[in-house]
Amino acid sequence: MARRRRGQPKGRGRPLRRGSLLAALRLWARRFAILAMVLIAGSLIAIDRIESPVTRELRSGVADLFAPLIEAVSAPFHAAAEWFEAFESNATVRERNAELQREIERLRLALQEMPPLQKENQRLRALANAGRRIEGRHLTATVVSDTGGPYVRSLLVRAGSVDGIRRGMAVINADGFIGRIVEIGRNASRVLLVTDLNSRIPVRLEASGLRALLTGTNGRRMRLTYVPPNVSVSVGALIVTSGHGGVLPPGIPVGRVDSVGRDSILVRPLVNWNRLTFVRIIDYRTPGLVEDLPDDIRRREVGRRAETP
Amino acid sequence: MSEPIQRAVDRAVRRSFPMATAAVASLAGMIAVPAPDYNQIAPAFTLIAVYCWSVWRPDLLPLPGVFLIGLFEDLLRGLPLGLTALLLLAAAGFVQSQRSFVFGRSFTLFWLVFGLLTIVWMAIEWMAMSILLGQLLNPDAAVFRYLLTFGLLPVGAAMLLFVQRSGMQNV
Repeated sequence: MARRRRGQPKGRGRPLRRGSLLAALRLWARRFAILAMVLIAGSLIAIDRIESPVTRELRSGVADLFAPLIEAVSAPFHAAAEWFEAFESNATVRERNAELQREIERLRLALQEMPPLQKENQRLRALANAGRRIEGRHLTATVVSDTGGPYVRSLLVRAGSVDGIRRGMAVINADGFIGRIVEIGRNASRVLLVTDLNSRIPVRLEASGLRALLTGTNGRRMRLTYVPPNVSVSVGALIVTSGHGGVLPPGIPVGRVDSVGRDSILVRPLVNWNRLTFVRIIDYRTPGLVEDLPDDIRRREVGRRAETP
Repeated sequence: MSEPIQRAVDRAVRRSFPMATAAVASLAGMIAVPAPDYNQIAPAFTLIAVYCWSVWRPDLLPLPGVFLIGLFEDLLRGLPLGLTALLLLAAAGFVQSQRSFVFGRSFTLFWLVFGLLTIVWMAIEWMAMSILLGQLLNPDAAVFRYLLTFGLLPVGAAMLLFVQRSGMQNV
């Protein structure tokens, strides 16, 4: 071994040393890159926790960019699901037909009762000196994707700032309340579902008018909180939005009480999450709220209010 | 375009297949499949792609690229920004450093190691989300997601192997 080394031409060891130095440098660069990426990821998690507008903008931008692509790729799956649904058995169709006939009868009866109820409502509103009911502007949007996974319950919908979508708007369908807009891109927005752990909706029990807060659990059911301890809540009771705070329209059905336990009241949502193709976004604004005004006017208004003794 | 340039472009495109398939896998996990609760238990396709390429062609799956795919997934899924990026980075880094243990061995071992990696990956994800959301989350959906991801590895690996054999010869 020693003889072989002696036999090597002069300078032969230099490139070897340079090579090993390069390899060592590469290894250190790789380690440094990994450390840098870990630090970046940690910082991003921390920045995201404080709901920085930068990360919100970034999310909206990426959603905007990829929503059309995900929508296009998802289209065949939706078509396949519709195709399978078309293959219902005769018995199922007959059963559904009977069910629909019953529903028509029930609605006809309800329709007969409508005009007197409408008149009574108008009379009572006039007596109570209540203003005109605020009708929100509605917009229909397609569902692009359920992106959340096991820990986040959210949807991407194809409507954004160009359609006049704003944060906090209520999202519903024929069954009831779905969630509210939390991120807005130009052409796509994210909806935080009512079942998400971060969702808090002011609600009331339709029958008793009792107000409470509905919180998501990330599971199939939601939890009714801030219910006074001596109040009895029955299973099957309908929960609707209370409109408290002026952000969500009042009276939208959200769910039905599923179980009443010692520590918690659980509510099952009315919406069938597996059949969400279209949603309706409601632009509901309570007049008189400072937040409804355009930014420059709002600033002036807030200034004026601050000046008022 | 001259032939050497054409060849260089062709080679570059072929060499980008691992990153491209990992990005496609990431998007595939977000497709709205109208099946009951699918979105909650959708398999971690990205992890399958990252694992396979980390074992077969780590030279074509740079860690910064894996990190970016993780960031992209966090942004689009609405997850805490940086979490999936960090988890994918850790998974790819670990597999690339230990690949000699599974490379060239039986598929059963390849699958079992993936099973162990996925358990650790999903347990850390569950713990991190529990900490970030401030409460112990129900792990049911994560367990089903794990089973689905583990079960789909042979299908994913077969597809990626097809890509490798048909489009990545001599690159």
